[in-house]
Amino acid sequence: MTVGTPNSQSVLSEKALRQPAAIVRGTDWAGVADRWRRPRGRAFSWRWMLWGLLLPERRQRTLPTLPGMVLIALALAVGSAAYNTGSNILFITLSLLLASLVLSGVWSWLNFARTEWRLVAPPAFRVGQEAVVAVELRNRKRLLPAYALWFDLEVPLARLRHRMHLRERLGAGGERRLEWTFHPPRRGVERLRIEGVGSLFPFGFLRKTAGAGVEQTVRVWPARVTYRFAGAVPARQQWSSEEVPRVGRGSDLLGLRRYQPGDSHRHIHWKASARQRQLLVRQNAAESAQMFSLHVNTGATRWTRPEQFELLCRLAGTLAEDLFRAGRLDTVTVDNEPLLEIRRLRDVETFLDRLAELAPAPAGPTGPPARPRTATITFEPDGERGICARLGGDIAARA
Amino acid sequence: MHASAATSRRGPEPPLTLEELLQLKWALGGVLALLGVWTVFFFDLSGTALLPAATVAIGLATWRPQLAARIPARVWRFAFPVLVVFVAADLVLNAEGLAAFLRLNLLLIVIRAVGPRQRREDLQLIVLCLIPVVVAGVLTVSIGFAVEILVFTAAALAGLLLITLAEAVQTDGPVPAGWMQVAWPPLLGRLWRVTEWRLVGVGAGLFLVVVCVATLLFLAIPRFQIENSLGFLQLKNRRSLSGFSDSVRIGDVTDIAEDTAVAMRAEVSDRARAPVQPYWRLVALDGYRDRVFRASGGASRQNRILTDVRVVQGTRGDRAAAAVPVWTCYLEAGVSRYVPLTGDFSRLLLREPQTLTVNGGSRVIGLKQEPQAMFAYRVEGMVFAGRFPALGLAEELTAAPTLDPARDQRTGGAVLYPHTLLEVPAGEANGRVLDRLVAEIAGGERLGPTMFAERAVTWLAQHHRYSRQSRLPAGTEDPLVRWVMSDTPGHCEFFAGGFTLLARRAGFPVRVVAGFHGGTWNAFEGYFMVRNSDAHAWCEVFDGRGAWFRVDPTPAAGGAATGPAAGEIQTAAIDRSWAARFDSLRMLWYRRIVNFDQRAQDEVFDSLKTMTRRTGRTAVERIERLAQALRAWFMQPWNMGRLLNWVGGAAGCAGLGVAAWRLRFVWWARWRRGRRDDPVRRQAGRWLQRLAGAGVLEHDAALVRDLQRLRFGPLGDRANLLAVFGRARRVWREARHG
Repeated sequence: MTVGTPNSQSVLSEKALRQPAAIVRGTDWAGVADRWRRPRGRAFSWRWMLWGLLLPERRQRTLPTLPGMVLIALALAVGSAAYNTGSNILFITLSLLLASLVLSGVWSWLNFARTEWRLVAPPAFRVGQEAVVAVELRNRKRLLPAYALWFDLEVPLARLRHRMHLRERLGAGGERRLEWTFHPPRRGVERLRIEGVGSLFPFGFLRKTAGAGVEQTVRVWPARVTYRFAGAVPARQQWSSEEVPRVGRGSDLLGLRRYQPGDSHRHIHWKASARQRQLLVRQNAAESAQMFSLHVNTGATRWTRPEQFELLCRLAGTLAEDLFRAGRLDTVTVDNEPLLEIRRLRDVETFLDRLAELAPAPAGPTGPPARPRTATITFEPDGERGICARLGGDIAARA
Repeated sequence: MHASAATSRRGPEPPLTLEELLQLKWALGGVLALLGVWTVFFFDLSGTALLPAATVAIGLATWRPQLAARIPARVWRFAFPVLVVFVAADLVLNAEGLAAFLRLNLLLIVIRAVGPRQRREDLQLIVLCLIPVVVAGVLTVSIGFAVEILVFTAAALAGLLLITLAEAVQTDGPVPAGWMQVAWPPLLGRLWRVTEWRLVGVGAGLFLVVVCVATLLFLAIPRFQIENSLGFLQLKNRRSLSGFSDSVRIGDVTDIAEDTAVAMRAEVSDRARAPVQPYWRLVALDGYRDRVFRASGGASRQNRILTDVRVVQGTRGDRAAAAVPVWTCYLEAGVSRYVPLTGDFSRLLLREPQTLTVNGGSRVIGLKQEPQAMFAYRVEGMVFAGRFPALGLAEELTAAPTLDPARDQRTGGAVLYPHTLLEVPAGEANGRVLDRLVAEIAGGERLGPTMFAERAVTWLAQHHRYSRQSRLPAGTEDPLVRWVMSDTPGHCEFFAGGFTLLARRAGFPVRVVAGFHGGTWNAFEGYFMVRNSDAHAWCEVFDGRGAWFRVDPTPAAGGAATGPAAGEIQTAAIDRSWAARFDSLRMLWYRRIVNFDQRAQDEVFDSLKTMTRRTGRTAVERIERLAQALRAWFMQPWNMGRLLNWVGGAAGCAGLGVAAWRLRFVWWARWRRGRRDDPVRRQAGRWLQRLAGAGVLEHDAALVRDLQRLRFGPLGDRANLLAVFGRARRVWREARHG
């Protein structure tokens, strides 16, 4: 059972609530710094150029592989024989072996040159759900394609490492997207990182690795939880009989506000916008219905079991989403933090982000508690494993 | 309404799949294997029956990989122990280490080429194929090695590239089994369609870079004269031209002369001093018996063994060395173990230490064994006159035992040196014939050696004509005696042998010398080409006083009674044919590559240094001249008119230059309107990128609009072109510095 009835005209479906927002953020484009082209936005200086010639880039390594070591050993053997005998045939062979090694290094450098990548991931994952991490590549060279690159991805919170391979060639001027899916096992702040970009191209003699230095922070929201709800709250249990006009999806015009990216174009008030010479959107009043506030108390004395605390985060998040979908979530707060008014999906996401980082407060809440205007749902342990949500002293839901 | 014909455009060809990459890799592995296997052919090994079988096996496996896949795995498991047994048996039976090693290498190549291959096996195949190529190059020092190593390098690098690309596609996945079902024509068609020819050009350019870098490394790698010879790299496999050995049978030299291959190349430091028809002496033979001239034991006992020497001092002495040209000779493998020389010399220098056999009496120097590859040596002060001293020979002839072996018990019936120089065929019949002919030649006079030689040569020319084909008349006398007394045509060996018998019967010590006579001048690289067809036999006569002089009785060689006088210089016949052109490549190979030593390296660096200095000096002189001219111009008297002229002219030129530069887009746009490479669009795009990089795009929307108009807008809309670019430059500079 869920709170209220799903609004068929709701812009945000249940699935959308369960998935992070469709708009994803990516990191900036990164690549192996070209010695002869300074990084974007950076002023040229001779010192930078000279140091760049002397010092290698951080985490940039070029190491011989086993075939490379065999080649080096072969060159040493041929060189020894050449010097021992004075045979120019052996010197020719030695020269060709060394030249091949030089070509391998040069071509490997060309393969990396002007190849850029960035990490693309949604701003948030959810525990247990499929999370897609993408690496976007682009080859800014005009002539040469890029081949055989790999990206070592590290997911520290999930304790995972994965290598993504560029299997096909990336033509000059081309772009490619490599995706990897995994299921985050725990909530928290995930710092996705491309540990390194490597390649054995062209001949497998040298393993060239560039320290990618690309990182993206993603919050892992707690997973949804199934709970038993006690139904609509009786009218006598409302904390306040005052109907507070609030923004919602009703038909009454509450007011006008400036357009913000993400607002539906159907809500633009064209006449007012023409008059004011700026885009304005309507704010409609919500249908009259009881609103709720969520209050999460993270006192460590209350939450002695980690699994119950996790359940708290899951239940709080689930309730927040369900109430918001029903249009009945007014505010949320954690401990004595200021009230967070819930008007849009982004506000719910902010709360979920907060839940992702939530940890038991050892010293308990400090400062005066916030006083919400509407009925407040609080949470407390229910037995050894369960958790319950209370509304005005009565149990409203159990998980 | 016009019905437009639907045109279907094929999309870009998809890249090669993993199966196709594996098939190409397999094919390239087969090519490398064949290259390695056929290299063994150069060695002419005794077990060359392996070669056709190996070629068939590799070819079949490459063409049909699925056949190779049908071979049971246990076969590969037992291959190694079988190989060990084979190698052990080969070593025991043949006792030739290098040949056994090469046969083992051949078998390993076949096993790797036919068997299943992963990355490790592919790398093993490449190394296995490299070994015979390098060994062949070291042994033969042939110019073919240069072509072969380049082809091998290209194929090996291509193979390694395919391996890397295939692994990138495969990553950790299994190898698809279907790759063995190869249809070569469709695969080649796919390869043709997928190929971007620009990238092929880039690849070719990169390979050229490899060759250039290798060349520079080859020139720059410092050389040290350690020169321990690779003693184990000796193959007893090449059939030598036996005409130039210790014993020469009548007809052997003529057999060599049937071959027109170049036997020796000789370059001289001063071409003007190169003789027309030099006589290159290889062997000097004093004994004769039954159609065979040989070096007698007594003559051989005069050999001195010089171990590990690089320099041999001649009898001429160093004082004359500076005044005469230096000859550098390159003797092909399989000619002889004797070093071709014309006679006396000051110094003989070798590339690496050798063990030599030096016979001062016969003026012959030989190596310990026949060289397996081209043999180079340098001679200073070489004499071409055809006369050289024979110190002590007269005394030896008088002090030695008598000629008649039948009466001398000490000799045991054998003629001893130096009386072998007077040895004629035994038997009264032979003696009678020779006496009669000698009497006929001498005409009853008592002649000296020179006069007798002249008359004998004339007499032989009158009675015999030169021909490579000769038929001996029947009789019981010695074959040479029979020929002399007949009028049958003959070749140089008959003439030399006949003259020898006549002169010996007349009492003059004579020996037969075999070697080369003549040669042509290669106009392309400037050296003498001496071919096997120049093989010749002539005589040397002792004048009784202490010197040998050369006599060439063969009419085709000119029939001169004596050789050219010392110092006679003429220009040689010049060869400009295609054969000479190709041979010059080989000479270039020997001269510039094979013989590139520390001295040559120093010369290269010296010439580079000299050229750089000369260029710098020339540049400095030009600058000084220009400065002097400017100074002179400036010191001329100035007046208002002159000042106005020059300043006005300079200002005008500067103004024109600035205007041209600023208006370059306008002119270019008018000239190249509509082309893809519109410089205005390019420049606008560059400015947009720079401003985006500086993060100022949001600050000046009007500028961005103008740049976008120039970048993407219609061609006619180029208003305020220069002003827009100027504004963009100002904004960008402010962003950089502020």
